[in-house]
Formats: sequence, structure tokens, C-alpha cells
Amino acid sequence: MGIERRQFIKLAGVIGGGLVLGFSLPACIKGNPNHSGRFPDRIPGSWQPNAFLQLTAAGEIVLQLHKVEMGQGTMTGLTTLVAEELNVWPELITLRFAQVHQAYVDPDLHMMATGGSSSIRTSYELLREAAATMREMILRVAARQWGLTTDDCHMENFAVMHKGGEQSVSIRILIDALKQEPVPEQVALKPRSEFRFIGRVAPRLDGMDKVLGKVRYATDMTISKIADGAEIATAVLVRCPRFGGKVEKLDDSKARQHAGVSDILVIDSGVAVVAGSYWQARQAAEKLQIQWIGGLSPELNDVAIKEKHYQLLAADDSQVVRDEKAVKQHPANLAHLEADYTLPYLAHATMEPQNATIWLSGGACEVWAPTQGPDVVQGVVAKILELPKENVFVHSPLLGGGFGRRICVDYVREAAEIVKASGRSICLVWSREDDIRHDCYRPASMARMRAALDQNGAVLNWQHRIVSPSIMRQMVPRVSPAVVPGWMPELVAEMSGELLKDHDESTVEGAKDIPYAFDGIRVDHVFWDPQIPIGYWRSVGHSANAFVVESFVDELAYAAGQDPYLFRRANLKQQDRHLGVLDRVVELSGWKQHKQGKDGRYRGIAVHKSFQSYVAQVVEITLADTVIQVEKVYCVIDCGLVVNPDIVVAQMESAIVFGLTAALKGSITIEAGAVVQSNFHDLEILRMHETPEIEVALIDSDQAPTGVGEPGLPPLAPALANAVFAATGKRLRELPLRLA
Amino acid sequence: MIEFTLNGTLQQLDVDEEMPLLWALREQLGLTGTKFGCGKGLCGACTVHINGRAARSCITPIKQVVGQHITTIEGLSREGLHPVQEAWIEGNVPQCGYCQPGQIMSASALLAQNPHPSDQDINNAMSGNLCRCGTYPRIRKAIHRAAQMMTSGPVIVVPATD
Repeated sequence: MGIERRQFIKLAGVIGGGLVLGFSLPACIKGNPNHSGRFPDRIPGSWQPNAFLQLTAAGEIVLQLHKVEMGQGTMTGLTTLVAEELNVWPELITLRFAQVHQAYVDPDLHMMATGGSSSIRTSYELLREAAATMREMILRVAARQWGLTTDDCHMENFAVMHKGGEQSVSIRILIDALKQEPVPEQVALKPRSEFRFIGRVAPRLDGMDKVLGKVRYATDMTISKIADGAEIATAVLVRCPRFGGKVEKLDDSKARQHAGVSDILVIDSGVAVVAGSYWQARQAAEKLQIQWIGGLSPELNDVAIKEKHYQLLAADDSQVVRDEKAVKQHPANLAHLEADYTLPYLAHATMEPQNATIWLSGGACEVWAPTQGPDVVQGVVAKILELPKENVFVHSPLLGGGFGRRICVDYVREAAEIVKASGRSICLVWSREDDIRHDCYRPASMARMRAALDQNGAVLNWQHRIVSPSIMRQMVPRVSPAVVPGWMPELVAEMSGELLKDHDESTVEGAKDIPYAFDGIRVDHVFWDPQIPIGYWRSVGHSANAFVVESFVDELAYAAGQDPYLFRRANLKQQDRHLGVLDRVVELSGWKQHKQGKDGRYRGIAVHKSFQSYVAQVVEITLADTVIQVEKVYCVIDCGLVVNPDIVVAQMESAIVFGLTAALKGSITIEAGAVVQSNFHDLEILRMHETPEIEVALIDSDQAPTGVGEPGLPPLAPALANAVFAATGKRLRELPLRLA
Repeated sequence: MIEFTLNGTLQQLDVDEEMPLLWALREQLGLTGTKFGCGKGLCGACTVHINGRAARSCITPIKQVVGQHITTIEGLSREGLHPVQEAWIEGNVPQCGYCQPGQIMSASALLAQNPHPSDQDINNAMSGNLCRCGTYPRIRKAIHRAAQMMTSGPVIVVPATD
């Protein structure tokens, strides 16, 4: 079923004006009105035509949000799609975060996951169709009752009106008839020319609760459940600073005496202290005396990692993912360039530290935690607590930041292990120190670049070798035993054998498919994993590969004696969308008019496509001795049709600030098999006074919408490094950038 | 027994006097608007007002607030929205929202002391509040907007004519 759905989406192609689409919702989403109760969260008495929408007896339209909200704006964006087809204000739709169900599985991710900047792209047709189907059925029922055709009727604001204006009916009156109405095979979507909501700047739907402090993130939900009488204890977990280390000896005598402590347990990942509140548990945990054994080697540190990476840059064996030889004749006297680039481990540092609550009731449980993958959460808890999945009810709260961190469910696994060992309902809360030291980091890597330039400035034999670990190879053994989806057998086959044999695309994304028309391109990957835990970090492989590609392209431009913009332009043959954003950012920033060094200002440029969106940026800096001051960032994005322009601008601002932290500030360093950093004093995050002015322009496009959560990040580091080169003549090939 | 005024009401708590105010607010009193971000006063997510001034509740032991006036995000405005909150809504400031109560408390404390803050004043007052989602540019703009609202009363916007 899942694969069928992917093919549908591929076939559908570009969405233009109002078309009758040639396909209908797959059965797992569409359902059958005779099988009521087939979709989760059906409110008693309501009409539920598909997995996403229902109309309650009280007249509410309820939307199941199958993507979580982590600040990126899906709550608002997805609701806007539905509001458009139903002709109701987005604010008036009742929203619920969806329960785990096969209907909500992402066609690209194969999980009910939010990530990969895919939410609007995969929902654009899906949700509009679901809503248009609801509208069509309502119009048919009303029309039939009036002896009219649907052409004579119009739905708006929870009522159907006769176009002549004489009759109207509240849609809730039609519920009984709607429950008998067959679901249509095809529905017409609203033409773009009639859009009232899609494409408009509009307030975020979660804005009010966020400024009032009313949002209940996961631990807030726990506190309110406890206030309502639920018996949930609070736990903290002490882990070996060295990854993988286990408890050898424990002296908990002092800790046990601390007020409020009810349990101290050794689980696989460390020592859990269970108490009546976070403060009590944390204070008691500080009194534990633990001897650890095993884990990563005490010899593992950044020097050792870089040495190994450097060695492997010259390895004989690699996985070659692209290999095109130069075909043209080039004049002799080639200039050869070679450069090595180095990237560190990076932390996610979501403002809400990791946490998970599991509340037992009879032979079932409820789980809430910040998560980007509720089905994986369900699988992990069900497996550890030995419960059938149907008995594990997962709530999706709003997330205090995601950035890919919440795909890795280690904190849920830990909570489940503590529940299992203690027999009690538990809320596990991580400290900031836990979060920084036990993240699943953006992988450290090294790259070797080689290329030749002929005397006309043409590039040949571009070679990009990447040495890095693979997220998939670390992640799949952790995730797949838990996911074992009964309803998606294809997934198990794919993940357990094929995916591990095939190459992990994330290692080479942004490197393999470079848009430049160089004559001869070779990209290969050498796998090595020092076993520091790794995971998906905003823009994933692009975060490293774009820095390398767009820095080395810049090096070639300067070596060829050409303007970095014009050099890129000349090599982006027929790459219309790359050229579109590149030309526009040049226009926006006045690149051509700017003279490097005027008023002490220097500029760098970069362009990169990721997650099907195209972004170009110009970064302008000044230097205060060896301190790089970022004055302004110009950013242009082509993400196809824009659903909410302000949210797209906000995501560009977000990615730029996030990217500046990575480019200038907080990286993770390894010493003795452990992370050195522990809190925000030694893991620095960009602050207000360091934030540049940011100006964003959106390309007006008819193409289907593509993602905005991640694409703003990859070009930032190279554009900045390119500005630093313009300012100093020094090519910085390592992040974070340091002049001294 | 620790006694203090919270959002205008007298509170009495029987807790360890070393307990940080943050945890007393969240777990003893159920006011979850104030957030845990770092526990070391480095991120500002726990910001409240003590006698009208911004303070980091995660490093303020409860014994230090005896007899003081505490305001949390829940009590920032008696009715409706504080101008800072209005400006935040107008500017579509929040993203994930987790740091925002702390940001709003710092911003409102700034404006209570300094009704016409410069960009440098804003930097000084707000650099203790981290935002991982990058809402800083919008926060700056919203503080200027709130200052405008607070000093000039109702604002009538005249559309530009081109």
C-alpha cells in the first residue's frame, strides 16, 4: 500500500490550476462509511469520511494533524490546506494531533514521521483531497435534499448555501445523511486563482498559546496529569560519560537517604533515581557513587578521529556513487587544485531537554514525549513493556524544538526500561548536561576535493571523497526491531537487508547531485564509524557536503580569476531554478555594485538545493581583528508554491541563525571517549547581540510546494567562509570558523 | 514555611528552602509556563520577575524569595494581553515557543525599566535568553513595537500611498 501511494504522488506531477485529479485517496485513508470506527480518534456521533477529517454532531470540523509541530509551522500550514478546500477560516478548525495509524505514514520516510522537510510537500494534495472529498459529499447531500445539483450549491463557514441565496443549511444538520453517502472516486480541487488562505501571510495558529505560556509540552502534560491525580513518579538517569559504559559498582547509600527518593535502579544505560519530583531526584542522583566499565576507548578523541579520517582520505577502497570521466578536449596547462575539509560533531540542543512519560493503566499505557516519530515510540514501548501495540497510546505534544533530534528515541527507551524495572509510571527528565553529552550528533567527517582548471576557466575532473560514518547503519538496528510494523511488511524487508547493503544516501546528499556542468565528476564515500552516537541533524548530509562543495567552487572561481557569482552562473547550465535564486540574491543584495572591502564589508555567496528546494545566500561580514562579525544575510528560496509566506521567511531566519551557531560557535569535542561540553557555558549558542540583519525573498512559483524547514541551512556556512576569504585571503576549511 | 506573593496572591509553601524557585513554580504550584532549559541560569527559559525585575528562577533558591513579589508568564497581564504579548502575536514571533515565556518576561522587564530601549539596550537585556529556533530578529522588532504601543497609546496605522 505504501509503495502504491508513492507512485501516485510521482505520477501526479506538477499541480497547476484547478484540476480534476486522476486519482483518489487510497483505501487506507478513504475508508468506507459502513465501517465506522475504522479510523482513530472518532468522536462519538461524528461523521468521519476519511482518516483526516470528521464533522461532529456539534458542528465542529476536526482535523487530525499527522505531522508534529516543532516550530516549523506544520500546524498552521496543514490546517490552511484543509481550510482552503472547506472554505472555513483556519482558526475555526478543531485540531488534534493524530494517533499512530497506517493512514498517516509518510510515503518517503516509511514512518509516521515528521522530518526531511516533507510535511507540506507530501500533504499538499493529500489533505486538499481529503477536504475536497468532505466538501463534495456535503454538497451532494444538500443538493439532493433541495432537488438541485451541486453546481447550484456552495459551502462556506460551516453551511451550504444555495447559490441563488434563498436556502442554507448548517452542515451538522446533514450528518445522518452523510453517514450513508458513498465516498466519491474523484473530486475537484479549488483552482489557485480562487485561493483565499493558501499564499496569504496569516498568523500562526499556535501563536497565542505560545505567548501566553499555555502550551503544554510533554513534561507540562505530566505535571497536569499528576495534579489530576495520576500517580507518576519522576526519574533522572545517570549515564557513563564514556559512550557505552556500564555500571560496574554502585554505592547508593547516601542517595537513598535523600528526601522523596523511592527507588534507585540499575538499567542498561545507567542508574535511575526515582523520586517525587525532579529536584529531589536530581539532588539524590548527585550523591550516587558509580564506577563505570567498558564503553568507548579512553584513547578516542578528536585528534585520533581526525588522524583516522585523514588516513582514509587516501584509502584504496571506497563506495563510488558517481563516476563520470571528462569527455571534452581541454587546452593544456591545467591548474590542479586540492583541498581537504573538516567538519565536527554537532549537537541539536533543542531548548526543551529530552524527556518521556509512560503512564500505566491496567494492561495498557499512555506515552507522551517530544517525538518526531510516534510510531517508533509506540514500537519501542510495546517491545520493552511486552504490550501489544494497540495497548500503547502515544500522544504527540508540541515540541520545544526538533531539528531531527526527536527521531532518535533513546530517551523513550530509557523511560520504558525504568518503568519495566520499577513497575511504576515514570516521567524521565533529562538535564541539559544529559542532553549535550548524550545526543545523537551530526556526524564528524572529512572530505578531499580535487579538480583541474583549464586556461579558459573550465573545470574538469571534479573529485569529491567523503570519509564519514553512516546514520542509517547506526540507526536501523536501533529502530527496526521496534518498528516491526504488522501493517507494512515491505518496510521490514527494505530496512533489514536492502538498506544496509545499499548506500546510505545521506552521506553523499548535496555532493552526488551537484548542479554544475563540470566535465568529469567523481564522488565516493569511505565508511568509518568511531561509534559516537549519530543521528539526523537539520539538513543531515547537506549540512556538511554543501560547506565543502560551495567552498571548493569558490576556490575554483578565485583560481580562475572570476567573480564567484559569475563563475557559478557560467557553470549552472540549464539549471533554471538554481539560476533563479542565484540571480535574485545577487539583485537583492546588490552584489554587482558592492566592492569588497567598502566600509570594511566583505561578501560571500553560495547556492544549494536540498529537500527539493533551492536556496541562495549572500553573507556580509566585517572583521574586528580576528573576530568575524556577521552584519547581514540575504537569502532567496524557491520552494514552489508558498502556503504561508511569513512562515517560509521565519524558517529561513531560523536556519540562518541555527547555521551561524554551527559555523561560528558551538561544536562538540571528544575526549577519552566522551563529550567534553556540558551546558551553554561551553557549548555556545548564537545570542541576540550576535544575530545579523536578515533579508529574505521568496521566488513566486507555480510548482508544487517543497520543504522549508532545512533548505536554508546548507548554503550558510560556505557563504560565510567565502566572505571570510574575501576579507582575509585565508581559506578556512574547517568548521567552526576560526581566524586565530 | 516559605511565604511570598505570586501573581498578586499570597503563597505558602512547605518545601526544602534550597529548592530552586523554578521547580517550586512548576511542580509544587503547577505553573508550567516557566520552563526548564539548562538549570544553570545560562539560557533564560526560566525567567520570571522578582519585584518587577527579570530573574532566573532555576538558580534562585526559594528561600531568597520570602516576602518578595513574583510574577510569572501566567500573571504578566491581569486581563488580555500585555503589549509585549500583542507585539509578539502581531510579529508572528514564536516558533517552537519553548523559550518564549522567558523571552517575554525579559522583554517586559526591560520595557518596565526603559520605555525607549535602543538596539544596544535590547542586546544587553535579551542576550541572556537563548532561542534555538532563531526568533531573535523578530523579538527585536517586537520589542520596538511594544515600546511604541506602550508610549503612544492606541496606534492608528495609515497605509502608505504609492
